[in-house]
Amino acid sequence: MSTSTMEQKPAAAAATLPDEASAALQRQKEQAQRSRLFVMRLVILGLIWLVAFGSRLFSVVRFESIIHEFDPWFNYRATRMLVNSSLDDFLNWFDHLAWYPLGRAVGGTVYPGLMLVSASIYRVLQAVNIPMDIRHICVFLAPVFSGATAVSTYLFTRELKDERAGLFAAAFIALAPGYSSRSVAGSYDNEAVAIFALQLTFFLWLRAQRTGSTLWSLACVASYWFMVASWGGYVFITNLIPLHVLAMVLLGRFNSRLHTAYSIFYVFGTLASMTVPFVNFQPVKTSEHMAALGMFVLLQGVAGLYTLRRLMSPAAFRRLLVAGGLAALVAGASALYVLRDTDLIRPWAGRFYSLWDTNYARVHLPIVASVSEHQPTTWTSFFFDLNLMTVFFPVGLFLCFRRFGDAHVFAILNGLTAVYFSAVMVRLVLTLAPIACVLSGYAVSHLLDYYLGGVFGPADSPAGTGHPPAVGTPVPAAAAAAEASATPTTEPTPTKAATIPAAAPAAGSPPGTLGLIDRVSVLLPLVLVLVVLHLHCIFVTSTSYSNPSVVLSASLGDSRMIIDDFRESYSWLRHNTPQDARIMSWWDYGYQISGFSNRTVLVDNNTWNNTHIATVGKAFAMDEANAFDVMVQNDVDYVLVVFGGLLGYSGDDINKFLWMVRIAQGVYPGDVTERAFFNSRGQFKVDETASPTMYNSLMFKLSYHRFYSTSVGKDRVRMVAPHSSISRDTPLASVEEVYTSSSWLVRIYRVREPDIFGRTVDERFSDFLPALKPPLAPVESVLPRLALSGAGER
Amino acid sequence: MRASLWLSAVGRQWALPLVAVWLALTGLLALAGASASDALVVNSRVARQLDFTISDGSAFHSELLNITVSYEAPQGDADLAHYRLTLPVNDGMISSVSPYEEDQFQPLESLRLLSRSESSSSSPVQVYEYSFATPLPPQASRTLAFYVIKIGGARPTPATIEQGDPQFLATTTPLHFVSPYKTTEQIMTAKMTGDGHSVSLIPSNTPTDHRRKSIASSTHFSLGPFVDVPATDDIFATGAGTAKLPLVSFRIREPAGQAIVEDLTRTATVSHLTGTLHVDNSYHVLNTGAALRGGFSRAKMSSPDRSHGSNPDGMAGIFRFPIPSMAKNIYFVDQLGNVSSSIVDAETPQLNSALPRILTLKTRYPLFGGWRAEWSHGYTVPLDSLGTFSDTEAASPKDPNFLFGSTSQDDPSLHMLRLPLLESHSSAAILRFELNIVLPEGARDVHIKLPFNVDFLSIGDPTFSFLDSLSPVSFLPRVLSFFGLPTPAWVRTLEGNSILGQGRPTIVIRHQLVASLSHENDIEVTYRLNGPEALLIKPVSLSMVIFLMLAALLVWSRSSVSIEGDADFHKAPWMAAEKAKAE
Repeated sequence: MSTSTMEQKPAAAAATLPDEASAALQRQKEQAQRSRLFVMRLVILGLIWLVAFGSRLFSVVRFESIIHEFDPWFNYRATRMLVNSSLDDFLNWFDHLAWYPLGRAVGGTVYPGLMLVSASIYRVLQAVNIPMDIRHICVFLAPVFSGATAVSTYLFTRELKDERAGLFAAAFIALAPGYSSRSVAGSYDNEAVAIFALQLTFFLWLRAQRTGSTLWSLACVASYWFMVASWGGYVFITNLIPLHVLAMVLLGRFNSRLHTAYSIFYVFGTLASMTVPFVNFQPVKTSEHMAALGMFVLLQGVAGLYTLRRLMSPAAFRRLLVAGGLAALVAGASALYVLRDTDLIRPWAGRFYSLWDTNYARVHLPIVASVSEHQPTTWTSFFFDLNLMTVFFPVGLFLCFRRFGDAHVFAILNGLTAVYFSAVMVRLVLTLAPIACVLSGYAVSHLLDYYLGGVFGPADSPAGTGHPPAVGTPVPAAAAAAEASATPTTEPTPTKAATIPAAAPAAGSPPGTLGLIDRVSVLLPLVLVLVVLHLHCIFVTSTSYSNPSVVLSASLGDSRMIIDDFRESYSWLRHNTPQDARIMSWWDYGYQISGFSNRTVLVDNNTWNNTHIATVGKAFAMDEANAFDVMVQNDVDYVLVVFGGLLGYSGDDINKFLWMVRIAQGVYPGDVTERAFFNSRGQFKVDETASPTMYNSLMFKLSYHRFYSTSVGKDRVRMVAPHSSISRDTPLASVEEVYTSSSWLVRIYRVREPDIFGRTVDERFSDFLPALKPPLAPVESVLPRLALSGAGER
Repeated sequence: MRASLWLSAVGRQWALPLVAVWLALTGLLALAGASASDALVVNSRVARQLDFTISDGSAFHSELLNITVSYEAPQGDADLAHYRLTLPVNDGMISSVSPYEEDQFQPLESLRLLSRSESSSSSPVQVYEYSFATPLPPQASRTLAFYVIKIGGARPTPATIEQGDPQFLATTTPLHFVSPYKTTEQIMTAKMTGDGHSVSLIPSNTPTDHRRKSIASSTHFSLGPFVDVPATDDIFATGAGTAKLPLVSFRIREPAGQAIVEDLTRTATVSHLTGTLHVDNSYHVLNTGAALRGGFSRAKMSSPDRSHGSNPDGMAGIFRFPIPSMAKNIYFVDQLGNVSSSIVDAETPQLNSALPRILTLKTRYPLFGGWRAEWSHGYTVPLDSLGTFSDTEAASPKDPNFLFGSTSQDDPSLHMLRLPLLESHSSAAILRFELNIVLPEGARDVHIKLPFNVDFLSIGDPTFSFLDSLSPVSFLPRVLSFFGLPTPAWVRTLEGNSILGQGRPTIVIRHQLVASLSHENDIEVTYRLNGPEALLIKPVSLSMVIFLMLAALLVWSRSSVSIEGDADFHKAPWMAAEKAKAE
C-alpha cells in the first residue's frame, strides 16, 4: 500500500540522529512538508473547481444566461415562487397553471432541495446587498456545484487509495461528459446538486463505517437527507448502502463500527427522509425501501448472534442458529407477504420494473418509453460520455478486487450496480459517471505510482530528508509524469530504490528494476491518453451538451443565425392572450409554456396523469370535428403545435405524433388506432400517400395549415415537396391561426367559441370550409386504407 | 333594505324635477362663473393649425392656436389680467400646453389648469387660466399662442381590420374654436400624411355661413374663415352640450402602426467607484391602431407582396432610440431573456462625436393592432467620456444632453449631472412615465432642476446594490433582522449619524401623458459627495471581512476541540518544562 507520504514516520533518520535538536528540526521540516502538500492539494482542487465551472459555461458564452431544456423551467419557476414567498407558502403551493382543470399540489410532489439551495444563496446575497437576479443563480448553480462534486469525489476516492488518486478522480469528474451533460450552465435540474450529495454521502458512509464514529454517521445522515430532498435517485443510496452492509456481513467483516454506522444511518436517515413532503411515508411503505429495513433488522440479528456466540457454548449456539434462523425466515417471509397483501407496502413502481425488464416500458408505459432519455444505452453513448474512462474503469475495479478493503467492496458494488443501471437507461449513465471517475482515478494513480515509483520517492517521503530531493518539490502527478519524461537524469539510485517497497508495496515488483525505457514507454502514452481524454471531454461538453434547446442556432456561411422562435411565440402568448387562457400542447412544452408564458396548460412534463395526456393525444389524433368536441370539453382556448418543416427541425410534433397516438390508444382504444395512421404500405407518411386518418387528424392540419400554399412551403424534415397532390391549403374550421413564429416553428391557434345552437363544426363553417377530400391515390389502395382507418374514425 | 326602498321610491317620483333643478343650478353657476368682463374680451382672430404628421402612426398630434385677443372695455376700466383657454378633450388627451405671448415663450407657471368647480363646466373640456405677462389694458390687443399636444386623438376607423387591409384613423374635433369669448374670425388648417384622407362635417347640415371648405393641397386642409362665432360657453349654459357643437372629422390613411408606450420606467444609476452612468429603460408598448380581425397569417407575411404581405398596414414593431455615442454594454432583453434582433448603427463610436448613435430594436413579433410587447434596453456610459458643464457647446463637440462634472473649482465635492428625461424614438406617446435616478451612496444636498412641472417628484426609498451599507455599523441591523432579531437602540443611533448605511439616494419622478416632442427634455441633478476617500470605504470593508475570516481560520487551526489526543495538550509550556526537569 502506498500510504500517504506525510504519514510515514522517519524511523531510520531518527535512529541515526539521536540528538534532540535535530529531531525537533526534523519535525519542523516534516511539518513544513505537510503544509506544503496541503496547500498544493488545495490549489489543485481549486483549479479543478475552476475547470469544472469554466468548462460548463459554453452555452452562456455562445448563447446567453438562460434556463435550458424542459424540466429546468419548472424548477426555475418553483424557485422564483419560493424566492417571492415563504417556505410554508412554497410547500403548500397549489399550482393552478398546470394540469387544467386538476392543478398540481407542487409542495407535495417536488424534491425541494434544488430550490432551497438557490433560494438560500439568493437570500444570503440579498442580505449583503448584492442584488443578483434569481435567474442567474439558477443558471450558474450547476457549474458551481460540479466543483463541489469534484471535491466530494476527491474525498471519496481518498478513502479508497490516497490523495493522489483523489485528485485524479476529482479532475475526471470535473470534465466527464456523462456528468457535465446534466450540469452545464442553465441545466437547472435536480441532478445538478444531487450528484454532489451522492458522492458526499458515499464518502461520509465510508468514513462512518471505517471509524464507527457517531459524528461521521450523523454527517452521513445529513448528507443523505440533502440527497433525498434533492433527487428521486436517492433510492440508489438507500439500496446500495444496505447492499454494502450485506456484503460485509457475508464476508465475515461484521464489526461494531459497521453496526453503529448503519444503525444510525438507517434510523436517523429514514426519519430525516420522511420529513421531505414528497417522500413522506414511502420509506416504510414501498418495496423500494424494504431492503434497507430488512438489512437493518438483519444487522441487529447478526449483532445479537455475535453477542450470543460469545456467551454460549458452540453446540448450543449452533442449535439456536438453526432453529432461530428458520423461525426468523418464516416469520419474515410471512410478515412481508401479509404486508404486501394488505397493501401496507406498495409494490414496486412501474418505472422500477422497467429497470429489470427493458421491454416493460414499451409495453406497459408508452409515456415512459416515449422519452428518448429512457431508451437503453448504446455502446457508443458509453464511450461518448466516458471516453477512456470506460477503459480505466475496469482496471480500477480490478485493483479494488486486489486490495479488497471495506471501502473497496463498496466501490465494487457501486461500480457494478451503476454499470447495470446505466445500460438500461441512457439517463442513468449519470449514476455511472461518478464511480467511473473514482475508479479511473484509482487506476491512473496506481499506474503512475508504479511507473513513477522512486522518482519522487525521496521528495515524497520525509524519510528521505537525509538525501536531497532529486527534482525539488513534488508536483501534481500529471505534470510530474510529463516532467519525468522530460528529465531522464532522474534515474533512481539504489538508495532511493530501497525506500520504494514502503512507498508502493501494491506495485508488486520492485520499481527499482524499471529502466528509463520502461517508464517512458508507459508514461508517455498514458499522458497522451489523458490529454486525449481531456480534449474529448471538452469537445463533447462544448458541442453536444451546451445547447439551450429553447434557442437554436444555425450557421449561414461565416455568420451564425439565432433561431429564437420558441421564445418569440411564448412571448406572444404571454402578452397577447387573456391571463386565464388555457393552452393545449403536447406535454413536452407544458413546463416551458407555464414558465415562459405564465399561462395555464392542460398537461406538462410532470407526467403523473396518463389519462389526461392521452386525452390531449386523442384531440390531436382525431379529425377536426371530434377534436373540437374534446377541446371544448376541456375548456381549451389556444392550441400550440411545433412544426419543424420549414427549418428542418426534426424534433417537431409530427415526428412525435406516433407516440401521441400510441398513448391515446392505450386509454381510448375505441377512438384512436395506431394502424390507421399508416398508409397502405404500412408507412408513417405525410405526403400524398398518407392515410386519410393521418391527413384528417388535427395535428396534421395544424402543422400544415397554409404551409404548402406559400413560396417557402417545403417540408424539409420529411422531404415533402409542394408539388405533391396533398400540397394545398389545409383549411381549418374549428380553430383560427393567431400566431406563427417567423420560421414557422411554433404555431398557435385559437379555438373558436362552441356554437350556442349546438351545430357541429361542419354545419357551422361549411360556408368557407371546402370539404376535405382525400388526395389522389391509386384506386386499389383505397379499399384497404378505408378499412384500416375505420376504427380510428369511429 | 328599507332605506334603499325609500330611495328608489323617491328616485322614481322625483327624478325628473331633481334633474331639472340640477340643470338650472348648473346653468346659473356657469353664468355666474363667467365674469362680466368676458363679454368685452374678443378673439379678433384665431388660427388653428392641426398637425398629424409629427408622430409615427399619429400616436399624438399637435394643435397650434394663434389668438389675437382684444380687450374692448372702455378706457379707464381695470386691466385684463387673465385669459381663459378652453381645450376640448374629445380629440385626444392633453399632454402639454406651451404658452407664447407676442412670440415669446412664457413660463409654464403662467398657465393654470382650473379644477372642475372653478371652471364650472360639465363638458368634456379642460379650462386653463392664462395670466398675461403684463395685464392687458382696455382697448388694446395682443397675440397669444398655445402649442397643444394631444395623445390618442386619432382613433382607428373602423376599429378592426384584417391583415393586409388599409388602416384609417380619424379625429373628430369641434369645428369652431371653443372659447368663453366671442370669436370674430377663425380659420383652421390641418396637415396630414399619406393618402386617402377625407374631411366631413358633423352634422352634415352645419349652417353654410359658418362653413367654407377648401382643400389647399393633398396633404393640407384649410377650413374657414368662420366669422362671428359666439362664445361657446353660451352653448353650454343652455344645456345643449357638445353634441350640438358642429364638429369636423378628419380621416386619414395611416400605414404605420400606432404604438403607444403604456409604461416606461427609466432608471439611471451613477457610480463614482466605477465611473459610469448606467441607463435602463423598461417599456410596455401597446399598438392602439386598428385591431387585427380574423387571425394572423404567417403565410401572408411571407408573401413577396409588400403592401399586403410582409409590411401590412397598422403593423408596428421597430423602434429607434438615440443613445450617447460612447455607450457601451448595450443590451435588449425581456422577461424571457435576450432579444436577438437589435442593431446599433454600424458607425464606430467617435470619441468626440456629439451625434448620438441610433439603436434599432425589433420586437420579438410584429405588433399588430391590439398587441402588446414588453422589453428593457439600456447601456453604460463612462462618466469621463461625457462633457462637463464648463465646456461651451461650440468648443466641445460632445453630446450636450449628457453632462457630468463638478460645478465649481472651489468645491470639488459638488457634482452635477445632466441627462435627458426621456430618450425615445421621435414619436413616443407615453401614458405613464417614471424616472429613477440612483445617486451614489452617501450623496447628499440633492437638488433637482426639472424641465417642466411633473406630477410627482420625491427622493424615495434608497436603493441597495453591490455591497452597499457593508460598513460594520450599518450592516449589523441587517444581520440581526436576517435572524429575526430587533436592532438595539445604540446601533440605530450610530447608524442615524452615519452618512453611509443609508443606501443610495433615489430620485423618483412620475408623470402621465408624455409625448416625446412636447417637453423640454433635460433634467439636472446637483448633489454633494465626499472626495475619493469615501470611495475607499467599500473596498476597505471588504478586505476587513476577508482579513477577519482569515484570522478566524488562524485561531481555529491552532485550537483543538478534541477530547482525545496529547495528554499534555492542556498544559502550559512551563509545566512541560518542569515535568522534563523532574524526570
